[in-house]
Amino acid sequence: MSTLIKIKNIAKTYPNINTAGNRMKSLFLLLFNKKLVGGNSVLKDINLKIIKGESLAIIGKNGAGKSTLLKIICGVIKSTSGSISVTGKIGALLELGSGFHPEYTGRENLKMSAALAGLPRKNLDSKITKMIEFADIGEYIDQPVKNYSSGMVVRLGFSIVTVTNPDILITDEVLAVGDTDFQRKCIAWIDSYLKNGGTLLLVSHSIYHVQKLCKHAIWLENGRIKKQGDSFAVSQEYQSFYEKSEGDVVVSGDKDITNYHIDDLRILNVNLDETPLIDTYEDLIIKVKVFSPDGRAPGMALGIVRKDIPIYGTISETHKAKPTKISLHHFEYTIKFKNLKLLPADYTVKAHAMDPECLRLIDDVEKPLRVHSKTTDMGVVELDSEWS
Amino acid sequence: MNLELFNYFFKREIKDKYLGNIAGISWVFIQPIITLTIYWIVFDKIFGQRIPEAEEIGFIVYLALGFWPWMAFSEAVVRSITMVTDKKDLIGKIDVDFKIPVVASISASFSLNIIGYIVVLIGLVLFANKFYYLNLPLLIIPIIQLYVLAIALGLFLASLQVFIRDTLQFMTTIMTLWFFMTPIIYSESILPDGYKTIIQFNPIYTPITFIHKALIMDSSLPWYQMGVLSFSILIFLFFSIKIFNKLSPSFDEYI
Repeated sequence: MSTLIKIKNIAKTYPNINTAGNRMKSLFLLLFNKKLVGGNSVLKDINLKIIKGESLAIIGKNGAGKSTLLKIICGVIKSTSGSISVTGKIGALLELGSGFHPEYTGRENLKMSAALAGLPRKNLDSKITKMIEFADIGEYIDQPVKNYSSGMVVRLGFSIVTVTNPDILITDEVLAVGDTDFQRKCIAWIDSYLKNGGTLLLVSHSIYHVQKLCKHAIWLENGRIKKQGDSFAVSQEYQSFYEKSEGDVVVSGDKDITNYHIDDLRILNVNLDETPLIDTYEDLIIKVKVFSPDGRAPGMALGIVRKDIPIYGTISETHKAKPTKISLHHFEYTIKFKNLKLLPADYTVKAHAMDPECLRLIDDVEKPLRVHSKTTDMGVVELDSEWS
Repeated sequence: MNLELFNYFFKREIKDKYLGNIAGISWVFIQPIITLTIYWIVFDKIFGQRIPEAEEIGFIVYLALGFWPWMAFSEAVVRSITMVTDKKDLIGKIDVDFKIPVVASISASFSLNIIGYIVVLIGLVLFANKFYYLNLPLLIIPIIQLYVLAIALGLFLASLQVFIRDTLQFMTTIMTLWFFMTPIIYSESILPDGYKTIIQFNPIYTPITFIHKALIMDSSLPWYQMGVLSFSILIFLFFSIKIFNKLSPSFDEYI
């Protein structure tokens, strides 16, 4: 089990270089081996190992530092501190057309990439021909890269990797571009590459690819490793972390707490337990606690929405509803939907406090509601029907 | 691999610089000839400049001998200053030692100018009187000195330019001053005494004087000074490479 890449305590900080004075200062600090202070820390305390045959995925939000880490691994930029050791050849597909000179033709760029990849002179021409065949962009190969579509650039970049056959293949979402035909060709090639003992270092937002292609995964958050280990474990924790934060009560705008506003929105089942999950045909109970600065009963608007499509919206006035006063400044509305006819899907329940005259909507509080059922019916709502 | 990269950047420099133009590679000969002619008209015909140490030779021969090596050196240096900052599209995208394109660019400039020089020298052998053509092979020494000095200076300036963007502007001005501090369009005997000592500190003074003395003057060659200069150039090269290596890991942060 040979280690292909070992990274110890890598950090990357981008210095403050907004003024000429800062640049001069940094220049002298660098020349005399002094440490720079301040700047923007993009990566910190990164430790990881990549073992031959065991692919690794790097996941994280945009801006977490994934691409920067990849570039350091490729040797394309240097870390500010820490060490990295690489055994074996690296092939990288980073950023569309990275390293391609836009004024030169595809063929010339292939030659340059071949030179940069250290391909020996012997058989170079036949290797370039193979690349051109894989890229399959017709006569565009002899036109400047600046005229290429993004799909063509990906084809060109990928074709190089298929011939240089690296020990470790590094790619970051680049396969998301490119037409389906080519994507299929790429996936087929990557498949055979992995079967033949290749190792993949993948940056992806697709949990599916992370779990399918990689044995290990690391989760980068704000430049630090939040979790690393088995790709299933890490990616599932990553997913549920982000889904959970979406499930919290979302309050938009700056709440003016001196005005009428909603203090709490609860979704309850028939047993008055709070739950985000209701079965069709069950009773759905929504309780909304509203604040009133002057002790008068505020109005309320309620809406149920599915993916921004309004299903049902109503206001308290229509139902001549009077909320229960539960304290000097608080009222509570209870809305009961008997025998819920909503069909299975994810909905959002929205509540808005209104002034007692029901003229203005004041604030906006939402909570997700998932409807479940064993019915095979489809759609948004069940309609009563009699069949014969 | 480095050799392949060097070849690649070398060819690219030549293509970029010369083959893109209409005049193409003939520009390498035409441009110095035009400049040479202008200087000759101005300094010989209009100002009546004379070279006391080489009366029979004629001013234009003296001028040509120093002019081409100077062009090779100054062009190579000035061009190399932006070699790293120009490669913005490669920095942060490709793992390459940026010393290679700098050295390749200097080599390309030098090669082309020296080819022009050789043509001039052949002309001088054929048409000039009192030309010590047997000493021609000795010219390899000052040419190599100028080449290595250009590399040392170029590497240093190219890495500096990444941090201090005024370096290019500063150097183009310095080059003009440097030109006048080198006995190319005048001979040192016409200088006042104080100036004579000052220009000896110019590292290019020694190789250019060596060329003049070897080919058109009856005087001994300054071997000692050449030795000292060679040694100094090597020390400068050593420090220049060290500085470049110290700064290059941070290029992507300052580019």
